[in-house]
Amino acid sequence: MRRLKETLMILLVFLLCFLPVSGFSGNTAQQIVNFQIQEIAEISVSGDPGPLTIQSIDPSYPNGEYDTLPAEDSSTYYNITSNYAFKITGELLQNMPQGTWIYIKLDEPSEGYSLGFVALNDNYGTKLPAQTLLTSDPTSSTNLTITYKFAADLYAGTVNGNNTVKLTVLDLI
Amino acid sequence: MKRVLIFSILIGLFLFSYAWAGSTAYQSISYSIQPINEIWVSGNPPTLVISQAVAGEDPEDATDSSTTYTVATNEGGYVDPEKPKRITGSINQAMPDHTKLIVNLEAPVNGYSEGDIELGVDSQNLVTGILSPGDGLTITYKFKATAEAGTLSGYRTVTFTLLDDV
Repeated sequence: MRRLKETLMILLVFLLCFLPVSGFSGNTAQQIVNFQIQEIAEISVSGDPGPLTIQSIDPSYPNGEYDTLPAEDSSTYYNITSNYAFKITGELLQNMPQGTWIYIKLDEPSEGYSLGFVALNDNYGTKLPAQTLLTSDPTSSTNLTITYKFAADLYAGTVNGNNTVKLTVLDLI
Repeated sequence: MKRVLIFSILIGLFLFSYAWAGSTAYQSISYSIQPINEIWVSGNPPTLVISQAVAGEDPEDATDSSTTYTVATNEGGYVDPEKPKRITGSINQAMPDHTKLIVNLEAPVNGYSEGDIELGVDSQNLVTGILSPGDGLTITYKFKATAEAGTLSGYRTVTFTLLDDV
């Protein structure tokens, strides 16, 4: 019986010394708090740009970059938040008519580098995903201008069409 | 009430997916190219001066080929071979008696020159069947006169017009 009492006392002392104290109502308390930030990449656009209409010849024809005077639109914006180094790619969802080109230029956030006007299709009109902007630092920026340019040579003829541009935020590496 | 709630949730989901599509965003673009049909010249030719003659014959023609024209069209060609173009020419006032102003336009690669054409106030075809643009194409003028024209000086405005060749 005495031996049992001694064993119980030792066990009690052990429990008081080594068990977590969270459940106890003494004058201190401790908690372990885990935290984590996951990768965030969000991009949104303000809407669709206005119609891109070519209606005149390039004044420097035939020595200009294109035969016709390109149409431009800078009426839309994008917002970006990313907490890691990222790049933004642009991609057309459909091919363009041969002899026409869609270009896009994204204004850069304070911590980014814009690649300027980049073509989203090749000379045959085939869609061509392209990097538009790179940044090695996290950023959160709003109302950054998106500029579209629509160019064509005379052999494209007269054209009417629609397409969709997909902007994607990807890991820089 | 339940229907309104479900409808509201659906609308909310639609708006959310449009404005905040995660790491992607979409823009719809519309584009068009209007018909373009333009013609222009490099400048005015120098004065066409008749100053020589062989005895017994009419004075020799004055000729100039120093100017060019450019034609730019996005209709026709391989895009639409059924829509060829033509160029007509006219002058703003008839030439003095016993004189002629003749023009000859070099044709674009896919076009046909009508050769030497005497210009008048009524438009006449100079190049037909144009199916491609062209630049730096030569304009050749000839000023002809007989002895009866006497001596004179003057000028005329020549108008070139690009039209459908139908």
